[in-house]
Amino acid sequence: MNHHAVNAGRVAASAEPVVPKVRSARSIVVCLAYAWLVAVIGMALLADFLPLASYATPVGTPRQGPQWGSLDLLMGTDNLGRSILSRVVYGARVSLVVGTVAGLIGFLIGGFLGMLAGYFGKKLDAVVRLIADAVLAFPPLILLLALSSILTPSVRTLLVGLSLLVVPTFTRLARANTLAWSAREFVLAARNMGAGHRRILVKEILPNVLPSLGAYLPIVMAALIVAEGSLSFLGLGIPPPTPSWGGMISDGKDAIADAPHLVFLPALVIFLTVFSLNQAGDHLRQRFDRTLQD
Amino acid sequence: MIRSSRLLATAAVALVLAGCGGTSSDTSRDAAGDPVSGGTATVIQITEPRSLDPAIMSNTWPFNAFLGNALYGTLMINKPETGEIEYKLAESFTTEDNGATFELRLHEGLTFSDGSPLNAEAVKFNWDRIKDPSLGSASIPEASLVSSTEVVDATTVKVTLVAPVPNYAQAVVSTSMNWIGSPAALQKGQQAFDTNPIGAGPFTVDSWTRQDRIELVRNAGYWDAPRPYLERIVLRTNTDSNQRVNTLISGGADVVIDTNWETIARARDMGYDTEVQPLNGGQYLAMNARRAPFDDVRARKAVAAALDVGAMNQSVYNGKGEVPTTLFTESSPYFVDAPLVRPDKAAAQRLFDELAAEGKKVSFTFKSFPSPESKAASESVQAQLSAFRNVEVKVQTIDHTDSSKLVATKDFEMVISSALFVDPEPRLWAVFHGDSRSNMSGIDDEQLNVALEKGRTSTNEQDRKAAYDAVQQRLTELVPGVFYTRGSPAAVLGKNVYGAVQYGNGSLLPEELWIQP
Amino acid sequence: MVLTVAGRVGRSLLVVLLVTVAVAALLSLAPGSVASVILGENATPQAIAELNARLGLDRPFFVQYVDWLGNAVQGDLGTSPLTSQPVMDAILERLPVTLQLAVMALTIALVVSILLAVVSAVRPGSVVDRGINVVSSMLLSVPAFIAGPVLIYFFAVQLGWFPVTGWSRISDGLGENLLSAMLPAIAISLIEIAAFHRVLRADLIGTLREDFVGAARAKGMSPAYVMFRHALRPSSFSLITLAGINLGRLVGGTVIVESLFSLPGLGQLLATSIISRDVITVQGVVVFIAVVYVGVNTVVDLSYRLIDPRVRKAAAA
Repeated sequence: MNHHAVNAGRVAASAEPVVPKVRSARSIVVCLAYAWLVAVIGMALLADFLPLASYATPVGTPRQGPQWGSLDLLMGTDNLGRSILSRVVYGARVSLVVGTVAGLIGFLIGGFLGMLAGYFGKKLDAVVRLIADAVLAFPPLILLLALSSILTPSVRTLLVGLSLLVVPTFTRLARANTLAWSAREFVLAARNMGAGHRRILVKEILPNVLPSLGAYLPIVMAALIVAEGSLSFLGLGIPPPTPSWGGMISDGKDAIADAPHLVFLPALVIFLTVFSLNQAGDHLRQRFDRTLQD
Repeated sequence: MIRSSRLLATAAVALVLAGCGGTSSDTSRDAAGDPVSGGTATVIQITEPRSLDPAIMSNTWPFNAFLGNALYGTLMINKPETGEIEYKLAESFTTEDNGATFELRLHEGLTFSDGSPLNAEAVKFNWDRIKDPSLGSASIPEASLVSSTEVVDATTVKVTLVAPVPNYAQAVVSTSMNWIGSPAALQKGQQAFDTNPIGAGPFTVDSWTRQDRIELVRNAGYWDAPRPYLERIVLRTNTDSNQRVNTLISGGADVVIDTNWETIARARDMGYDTEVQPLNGGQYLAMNARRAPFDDVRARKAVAAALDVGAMNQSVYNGKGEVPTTLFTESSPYFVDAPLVRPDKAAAQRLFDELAAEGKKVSFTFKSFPSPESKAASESVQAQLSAFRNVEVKVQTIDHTDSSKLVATKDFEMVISSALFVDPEPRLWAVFHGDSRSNMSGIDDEQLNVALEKGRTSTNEQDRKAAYDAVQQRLTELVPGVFYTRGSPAAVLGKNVYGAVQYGNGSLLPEELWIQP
Repeated sequence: MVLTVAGRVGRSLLVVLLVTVAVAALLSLAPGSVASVILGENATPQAIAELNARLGLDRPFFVQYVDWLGNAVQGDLGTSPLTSQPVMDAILERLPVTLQLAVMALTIALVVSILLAVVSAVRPGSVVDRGINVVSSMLLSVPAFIAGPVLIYFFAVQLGWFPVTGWSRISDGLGENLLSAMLPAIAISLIEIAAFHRVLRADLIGTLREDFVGAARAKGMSPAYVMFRHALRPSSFSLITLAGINLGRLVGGTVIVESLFSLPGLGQLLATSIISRDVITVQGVVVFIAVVYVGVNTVVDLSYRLIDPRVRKAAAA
């Protein structure tokens, strides 16, 4: 977005009638989204202090449905008779760490490299693209399997593998967008006005590349949380009994006909988290992205 | 319970024959008449072989039993309830010296599907070949009991065993020794053989697209006419138990070979004929007595007493599995009504505490295979034991390469193994004898070894019964493992499919299947 | 021009080379060998050593790699020691399945996500937009190994519209072939739809605020015309980039969906080969995937210029 467009946008926006109803509904959703994120993070941090059963030990017969009365049975029990509520709360730890850390590493490193490559072009671009393409063309299965047999399965191994996989996607995205933006008039204008590379990258290009990358980040975080579950079949998953949301879905998949809550409760938690991340992302962008400010 | 559906079907056949003798167009289970020839059946198996070489394929139902029987037929089969041998390609398999040597006689004039003769020479070639370590046959332990084979005449082979095994026929029916391929074709190498395998079975290969389908056509020259009844078989593979049965339900398959109690029960509840061959023994959690903590019998006893096998059944098979409380099923002549383990949580905790006090805390790693059932079983053990003090379980998932090496390395503390058999010979010896390479738990007990030897070499039923009584007694004292489910060799039949006959380790005979048009 | 083409080809070869070296190195670090898989549980260490020697697997990994590379350059990808099938045959046998699945899944994903994104971007924050956001968040939260069984249950088992599992070749009839590919293609496309929608929506909203869109509107062009003729094209950079990456990925096969629906695709071939340490087959499949991936993404890179003339100018300058 260039500065003229911003001005034009401002004029256009102020000319538009304000529709309060939508706004209030939206802000309620946004509030709920923040509340959910805070609650999930809070529970993950404070799980040990909550009056919950152990996530490892059965509390009753397997595959009970959600029920009132007992806190441990609020969400029912899993295949092994363990409290799903307890596992969801403790599972937030692994899932949030995997989603956030691997996602952010990919976002930061990938975005940085992609912007440099797209902006400077030439040799730097060639090298960055070479490495990014090599990693992308590398079947993820082999990478994860090799990592799992060389290193012992743990959260850290998982983070290394998954971060490696998401970095190049961000690199390519950032590069493609930087390429498009650095050809624009306002960048040329800034350059003609004597702005240095760093200034152009940070002040002119970064704000315009961020929305695309930012829009993709929650998707990657969601995909990572879910992917962690499908990795357990490779032996790279978190070793049991430590719970994770993706792993809980994976464990429940064969009971989907008889006890769908084994799959749909953790899926619902992932959904609410992803949706909240999306909402929060949109909201933050509106607050802080100067190009979108009304 | 398991055989009831087939018994019912047989009774119905008898009734229909006695009544009008005609076949009805009604396709309900009870209306089956005489077998009808023709038709194509789509069969779904659990694993695809890497080669069609009879030595490489495994004669057990989760692997390639059905395909092997289709391509190579069978020398002989056994009756699942009694272990009684019934001869097929072979005319007889007899011993005059209590199992030191055997004479295998073939029917006259047997030919392979290319017209060449299936003779004593071919049997010798196949049986000798299985022992070749560079082939990697799963039947090496059984085939190695043979010290030499000798062609007596065109239809007779003399077999000398390393030690007398009167019931050696049981080893033949439970392994790929039952399958004879054409020596000339096998000598052309794996790639040529896989494109054009030559056997004397009821079917021949029309085409094979790996991981897609194997198309089989009727062998017009099959020795046992009018079998096979089916004109064609399309054999597909799916490792996901639920989707195998779903395919059958939606009409995409006619026969499903299955091994998961829960899906078998689902198909049965939907009115499908599910044949589950009874097998003695079962799957057990092998505890490695060669190393700590299970080198101490108290640790093994504690774990056995702590585990609730019923709860494992709930977790692994949604409660639909058959839990083995005794080593033999009730229909076996060797059945003894004495439970293998007695659950006693208080006693288990006392033993765990006692061991911990001696500085021998029960802490071990359960090596789990990547299958959903194995993972569920290992996590169930972990979850159940987490309710006890002074015991710690780690679960580690290992992949295919690691698991195939376990038999050689014995590098584990707890692992799932199986002891499934119709006749206790040769499997029970292989699983629990101190000299056996396949002895996973590493139990090497003088009394147990003697009893197993006696069971192997005794020629009269009374002595055998006494020997296996002693084996069971000793197993309850030594606790090499915890049996948690019976084997489940199942064939689920589509609504108009009949004729599921199994032998050995759930080995389904394709020549008996037929479709009511 | 000739130079650029030569440069591109050289770069692509370099990528492929890097990938194969990395695969060889990684697999050499993984414990176990195909010999122990072939020989099974009755193998003696001696037999394994002999077979390893016969297959040449006892040599240092770099020697094996150079040997393999020499043959591969001449078009010989070798023969799998496990199945005795030439690797090239194995790949070609599975390619139609994988390619058809990838193309179908991507087409479904693109069509659906572009429609959804356009509807969302017309009035960001509206009830419709938020509804679509909910749906796309849901799609992201349901992994393929759950979406697959759920789709099978409703559309194959209950409604009987599609076969549950198995693959029908085009030679069996196009109709049957499409039916057998539809559910797996949908299962793969769900996550792609969500990803594409979200990225395209964000870019579209940005573009719609630009001067030239305002100018087009001011000229009285219909909103639909402005959206599809003016706004969509310059907004599709991220979308095209992602689609290119994902097409490359999908050609590598989707193991979970393929095994769930028992489809004979490259993903299953790769997975079984990795699990059984069939390095020759793994190398062959990987080199194939890498070539396809590089090819697709070269096209994507070139397409940036076609999509937005401004990039063309910049590149020329």
